[in-house]
Formats: sequence, C-alpha cells, structure tokens
Amino acid sequence: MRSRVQLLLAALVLAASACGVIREIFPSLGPKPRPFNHEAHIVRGLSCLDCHETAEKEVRAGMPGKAFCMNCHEDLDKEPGKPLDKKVAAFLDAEGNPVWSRFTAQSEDIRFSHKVHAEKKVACGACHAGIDKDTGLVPGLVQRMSSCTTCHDKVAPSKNDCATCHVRTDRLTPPANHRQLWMQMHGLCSRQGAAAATANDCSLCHRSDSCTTCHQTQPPRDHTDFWRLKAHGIAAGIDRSRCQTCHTSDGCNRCHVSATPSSRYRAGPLHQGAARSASGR
Amino acid sequence: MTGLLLLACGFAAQEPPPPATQPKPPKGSTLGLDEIHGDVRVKYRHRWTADGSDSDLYQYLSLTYGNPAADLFSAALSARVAEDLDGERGASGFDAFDSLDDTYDHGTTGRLLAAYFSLNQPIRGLWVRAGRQILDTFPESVPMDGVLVQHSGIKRFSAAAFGGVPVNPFESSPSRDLMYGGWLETVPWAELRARVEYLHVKDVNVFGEFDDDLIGFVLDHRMGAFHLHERYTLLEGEKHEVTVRLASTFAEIGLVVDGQVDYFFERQVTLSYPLDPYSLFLLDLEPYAQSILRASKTLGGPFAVEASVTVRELVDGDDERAYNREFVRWNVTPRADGWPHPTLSLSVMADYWRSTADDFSTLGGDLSWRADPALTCSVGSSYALYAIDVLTGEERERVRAVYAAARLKLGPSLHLDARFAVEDTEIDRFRTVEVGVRHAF
Repeated sequence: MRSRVQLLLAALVLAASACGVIREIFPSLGPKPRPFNHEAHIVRGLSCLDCHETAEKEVRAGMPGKAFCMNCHEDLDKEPGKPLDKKVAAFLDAEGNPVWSRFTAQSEDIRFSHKVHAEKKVACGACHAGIDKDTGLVPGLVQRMSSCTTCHDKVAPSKNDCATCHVRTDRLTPPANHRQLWMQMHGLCSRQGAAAATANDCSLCHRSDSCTTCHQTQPPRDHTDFWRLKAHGIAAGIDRSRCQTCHTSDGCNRCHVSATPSSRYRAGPLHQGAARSASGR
Repeated sequence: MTGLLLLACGFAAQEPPPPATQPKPPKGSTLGLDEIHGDVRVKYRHRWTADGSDSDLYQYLSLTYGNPAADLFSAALSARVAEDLDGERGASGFDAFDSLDDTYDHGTTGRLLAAYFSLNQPIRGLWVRAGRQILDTFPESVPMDGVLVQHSGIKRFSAAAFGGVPVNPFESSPSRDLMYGGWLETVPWAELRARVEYLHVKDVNVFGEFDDDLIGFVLDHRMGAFHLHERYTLLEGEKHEVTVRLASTFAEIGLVVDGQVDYFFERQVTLSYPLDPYSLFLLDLEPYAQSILRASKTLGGPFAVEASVTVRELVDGDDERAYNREFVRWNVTPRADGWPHPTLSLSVMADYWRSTADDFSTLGGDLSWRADPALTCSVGSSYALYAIDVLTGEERERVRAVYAAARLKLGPSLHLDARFAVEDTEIDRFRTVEVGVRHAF
C-alpha cells in the first residue's frame, strides 16, 4: 500500500510536469480559449462602450444582452457554413440567455469602479492591455495588482494603500491564500516570488526580517516541557527536516555533549554517535 | 532589566507615521527614526512541578531600516536575550527545567539572530547584503556571517555569489570555518524558473573537520492553478535527494491540494553543522521515501476541513530503528470559524498513526472566543506526540497538554499575551505560566 501511494503521487506530479512543459513548447495544445473575438468586433468599428454600455456610468462595465448582439448577428448568423462557435447561439444557455465568461472577474475582496476610472480619463486599454488584439479569451486574464499599484503610484499616490482596492485585506487581515494550508505553503509561495502572484510578495505586509523572527523565536505549540526533555529526539527521528526549518545549527551539541549529563533521558545512542563522529566520517 | 530597556527603546523609536502626501526623502538621505520599524517582545515564564520551579525572562528585539524594494540602503537586526531570574540552573544531576540556555556559566545569554545591511541597486539589478543573515534559498536554511551579492540585470538571467563563515551560535569559536557558493537562475518563459545552486561548507568542530559540497538543480513551474516544484541535489558529487511537489489552488471551490514526494538516495553520515546538525546524535539517516498529500476544503459558511496523509518508508526495511522509522500518518482537522456563535472558532485535530510496532490515534482541539475586538481567549489541548521510547524502542507514551490563553490588545501596536498550560508526563506534571508584551513600531 505504501508503495502504491508514493507511486501514485509521483505519477501525478510527473504527468503534470510533462503536460506543462509540452504546453509551453506547443502553445496550441494549451487550454482552449473561449471563442469570443474582441479584435474581430473592434476592426468592424465597434468601441468598448458599444457592448459594455455601463463602463463609464457604473461600477461594472456590463455585458451586452442577446437582443443587442442580434442587432448585427440576426443576419450574420444565418450565413451558410458559419461555424457554431462564431454565432451568438454559442453563448446562450438552455433558456436562450447569454452566458458570458468573466475571465477578468476579481474576488469579492476587490473594490473597483469602472465609473471612477472613466471619470479620471483612464482608457480601457490601460488596464485591459491588448484587448483590441484579443481573438479568444483565455483563463488567467485577471488583472495583476502590480499594474494597479504602478499606475496609482504615478498618478494617484495618495490612493495607493490597501483600503483603496481591498474591502477586507490590509496589513492586519491576511489575504485569502493565507487561510488554507498556509503553514505548509508559505515557504513555497515566498520562493515563487511576486512575479508569479502578487500575494507572494511578502514585503507588502511583512518586514524583511519576518522569516528570522518566526523561524528563530516562535516555537510551535507542541514544543512543551516534555518536548524539551524527551520528545524532541523522538520527533527528530521521525522527520529531521522539520527540525531544520528553524534549528539550523549546533544546539544538539551544546546540550548533549557540553552540558553536564542530566538524566536517564539523555539521548540513548548519543555517545556512540559522538564517538564515531570524532573518529571521522 | 534588559527587557525594560528594550521596551523603552521600542517606545522611543515610535514616531507618528508621516502624512501620505509627504514627499519621500531622496535615496541615501540621513537616517531618520521614521524609517525604523520593528518590535520588542518581553516574555516572563514561570514553570513549576511538585519538586521545584523555574523563572525565566526572554526579550526579543527586531529592527528594520528602510525598504529593500524602494531604498538604496536598508538594514535589519534581530536579537534575543534570555535571563534566568532565579539562578537555579541544573549544574549537576537531573533538573526537570534544564534547557539549552542553562548550559552556560552565566544566567544571561544573548543570541544575535540577524544583523545585516543591504545596498539595493546601487547600479541597476545589483543587490549587496553584508552581515549575519540566513540563506533561505537552499533546501536547508544556512545562517552565515558574510556577504551576498545578487545581480539580475541580464534579461531572463540572474546570478548570486556569497561567502563568509557559517554561524554556529552554540560553538565557542568559528575558527577555520568557511562557506561560499552561489546560484544561477533563468526564467526562459514567464511561468518557468530554472536554477543551479552550489554551496560549499567547511566546518571545524569538536568532532572533526567537515568539507561538504552541495549542488542543487531546481525547477519551479506554474501551470494555471498548479505549481510544480522539483529539486534534485548532489552531495559530494553523489545523488543525494530528489523532491517533487505539486501544489494547486482552486479558489472558486475553496480547494487547496498539495502533494510532495521526497526520495533520499544514500545513507547520510555526519555532515557539517549547516547541512546536518543532527546526525551526530541521531546517527545515520538511512535512505527513505516520504510522500505527503494535503488538502484543504471550505465546506460553505463557517466550515472547512484540512486533511493529510504522510507515508514514510525506508528503502531497506531492515534499516528501521530509533531515528529511522517507517510510518503512515492520517490527519484530519475540521474547523469552524464563527460557529456556533460569530465570536467563536473551533478546530479539532485527529491523528491516526500506523507504524511497524503499533497503531494509535490522538485527538486535540482549540476553542477560541473573541470576547471583544481587543480580547481573544482560547482553551485547548495540544495533540499527543508520536512516541517511541528511544531506550526500549517501544511506542507507548501519550502526553497531553491542556492550556488556556488570552491576547489583549492594549493599543494600536501593543499586545499582551498570557498563557497557562498543564502537561502530564511520565517525568512530572509541568505547569507553566507565561505573560508577554509585544510592542510593534
């Protein structure tokens, strides 16, 4: 059973790795984009506001209704041989209502108003860069926080704090990714860096010495008196790598060799190990 | 006394933050107190059993100056001072309160955890950090007194080199110790990071002289919601360890999955302290494979659950002994935040261990009550330990600790923490009271 679990995990990650590399080398094999072609509409003279009618008046830019699309597509979609994915019908549900993909939708924690930005004369393309050349919506088009902060830093530095855009998250309220498995995941995320995800930029909220502060001075809850006297050896025997997360040096030596022997709870194989080590590797 | 001085220092450094519209001083300007941030913590701990007691005071000071992302010059300091208040250190015989800090001749011990300054992009793409620092880019975090130079000015490539003395804070002298190395990193496309790293450590200690070379190859690959991390290391030119980890977050359905496989190839005998501080005492680390699969899922409303399974097996089952174990551990932790009352948080941790000698399960939990925006109280029980008697090899001990704790916010940057815990062990019944103050500025 043990081998099966490990083989399963190994197969899982290797398969995922292979898929990812292949997709990078052959982009056409990547996820199929949602077949809405912004470019095809813009070159025909439509502007953003023609379809997203409330982009200058309301918080949300708004999506067109079926009737609006059919103003043009009533006849276009009757053309013989026109592929289904280029017809309005491809975007309709069973009741005939449009189901628009919202690839740029932000989480509920984000406060953003199209109206406010339109009033400040921010062009659509300033945030939705390249949308005029977009021929298919691909998952992952979410706006990056760095693009917001870069612009705000130049144009509106007084509106570049957490509360400007975040409803809940601030320096005392962790972002969503801190809520699940964060004890296990934070190291991985921090090493990925902000280039991968803004929430990986620890320096947004944490000072540069935060790693040291936690890993060197905040013992886990199970480090009790029994832990100090006995269980730390047991735990180290199970998973030494866990110890090395924080204990990076020669503390063992200090207690187990330099100090006066304290009790029968001294680590059993200690002297054997020390003696052998002293004689070389 | 030292603690009070540190606390006073912290208060003195506190200045009201500058108005948001105030222009930032030019780079390289004179150091000002408003650029210094940090925290001071003072913690008093009293422990007692039926036969004795112990009182200690711990003080921590952490300071940073400047913002490495924006300022030419930045610096950090982190230090700890421990004081044995009653002076009753176990000089001879067994003392239930003996600890690492009691191995010195004096009752006050200090540790400098980090102290470095950084030059941030004096020329484009160049960072220089000098002083006591922890290199956390290797599989093992390595503390160093030395200099780290990083450069990322070349498109898609970055490189780093470092050199100095490994920090062994409990060793009397770093004489003849040395470490150096570096890494080369490339980002061939946006979602792939590849890296080669090298670390050489020379460590002379009471057990001998150790020269270790570690070479690592690392791939970090993002694929939509997935993040794949692979690391292969060579030690002394021989295959050492491979790690493959796949983590994914599906925010829409509140699911996080994290799987990792580690394979340790060769028997590890004693290495230099920075690479392996333990095998002198835990003896050889035998080849093993360890797999961990973790998942966290929100269940709607206030409920969520985390679960994991860990499987560790030795490559050669005959190698099993103390400090080289095989086991399977299942864990499930259901949580409720804001249930059954909006001010309550409840979590229960259940473990099931299956090992060669025995199967057993443990149960722990925590109940927190946010009594007031400034006051949080909690009670709970830490889970019992996976216990193997190192003398007999038997798995038999279950130790349970129960605790009550409170955190009181005294001001915008001042917290008071108090905790009382009782732990029943075969050695004694320990009772501990801790009271701490933390001031951030």
